[in-house]
Amino acid sequence: MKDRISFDLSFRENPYSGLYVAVEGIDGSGKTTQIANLAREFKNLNKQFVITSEPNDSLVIGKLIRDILFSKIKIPSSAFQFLYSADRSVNHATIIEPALRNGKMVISHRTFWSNIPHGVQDLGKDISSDSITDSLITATGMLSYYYQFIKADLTFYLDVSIDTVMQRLSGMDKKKDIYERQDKLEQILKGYKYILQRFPKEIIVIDGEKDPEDISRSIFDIIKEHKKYI
Amino acid sequence: MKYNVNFDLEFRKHNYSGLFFALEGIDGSGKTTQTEQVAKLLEQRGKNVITTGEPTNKGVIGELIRNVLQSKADVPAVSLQYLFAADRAVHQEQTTIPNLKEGKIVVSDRCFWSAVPYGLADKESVDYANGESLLVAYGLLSMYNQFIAPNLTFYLDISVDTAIMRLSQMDKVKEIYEKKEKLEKIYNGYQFLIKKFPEEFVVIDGEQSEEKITEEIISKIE
Repeated sequence: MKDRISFDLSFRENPYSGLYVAVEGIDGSGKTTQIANLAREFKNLNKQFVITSEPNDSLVIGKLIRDILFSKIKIPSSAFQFLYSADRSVNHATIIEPALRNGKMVISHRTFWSNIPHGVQDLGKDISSDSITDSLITATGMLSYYYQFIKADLTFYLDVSIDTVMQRLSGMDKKKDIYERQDKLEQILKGYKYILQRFPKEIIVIDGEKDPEDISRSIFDIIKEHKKYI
Repeated sequence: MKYNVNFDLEFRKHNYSGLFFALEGIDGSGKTTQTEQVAKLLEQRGKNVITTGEPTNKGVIGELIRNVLQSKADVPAVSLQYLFAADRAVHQEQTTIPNLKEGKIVVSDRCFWSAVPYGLADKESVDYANGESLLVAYGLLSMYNQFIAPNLTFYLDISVDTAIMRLSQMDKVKEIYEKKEKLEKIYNGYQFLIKKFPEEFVVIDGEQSEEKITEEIISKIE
């Protein structure tokens, strides 16, 4: 069976008063550091905010993902992208939306954009094979829209090279999850580049090779300008 | 901001030496019975058959689904849809494909087609006239792009009233009215699905006797 699908996809905008910020990038791009810096800054300013991540290992599905990533359990990689989305929808329903509704700021370590580069990689496909990529975009984007996932008001992509992350990851000496292998990272990086090119207005690219404090400053400057930032 | 998305929704026809059959239908339509009966008859005729089903209820994801369903935790419907998809991916890789490769006949109680009627039923209401149902179906099916499709999918067609009657006899229904409303939505979803993808389904009158249904399925298989 072959069915040609063509339609206009739109993402659901955040309808709440709280500002929703997401940080994206490959492993080792500095997401955790930047989120910690933002949290520190907002705490100093007495802002109301919530930090979450996707996957979120405080949630039941996120916990399972974490265990699988650390290879305690084996499942086919094709099942992975679905677990991420399952976790994401719980994260949205139980953490993100309630906080935004209460006017709190949400800072999220990854968001649904991650699903596309990682999903394509898990399927063992090339990001440039448009049919696969578009079906993944549909599964994450359209279905998300239909089920009312919301898109972050600001999504920052920390742009770093493979060489930089390999250097950083080897220095971090943290438990290596299955994504932290160079060839996989290269595929995922290609996936992100594809997303940036396909959805240029949705994502703000930040030079992730700069000094962490400088990066935080640029991110913070953009957040401060947002109309929902109070 | 709108983005035009284009792709071919495509289910792979497998090239393995085995055969893959699935049974679909609403609760109480006789899928479980027929899966067993069809397998038994094929075995009697010397075929190498395995029966299976979705959700698998096995492995880490299967267990998680069961826990989520039982705990009544605050898990949104879409999360369950994704968990079912993960479970189906595992099922395909670990059960369906290996058995097809060995040349066996795989008879499955449900397959990915179930995602459409159940996904549609998750919504308060779906307007079938304005194409909304089609968008949802495509969205759901895009999760299963490149999954392998059964050689034949049998849809066991019964009315909601028959289903309710059977389920109450089986003592599977506690809240009849609530159940009936849900079943009607799922029934409508199946009607939409088989109309939209007529080449993918063989519709079997599920109100006939068990023996007749089994016979009809076997004759199509043969």
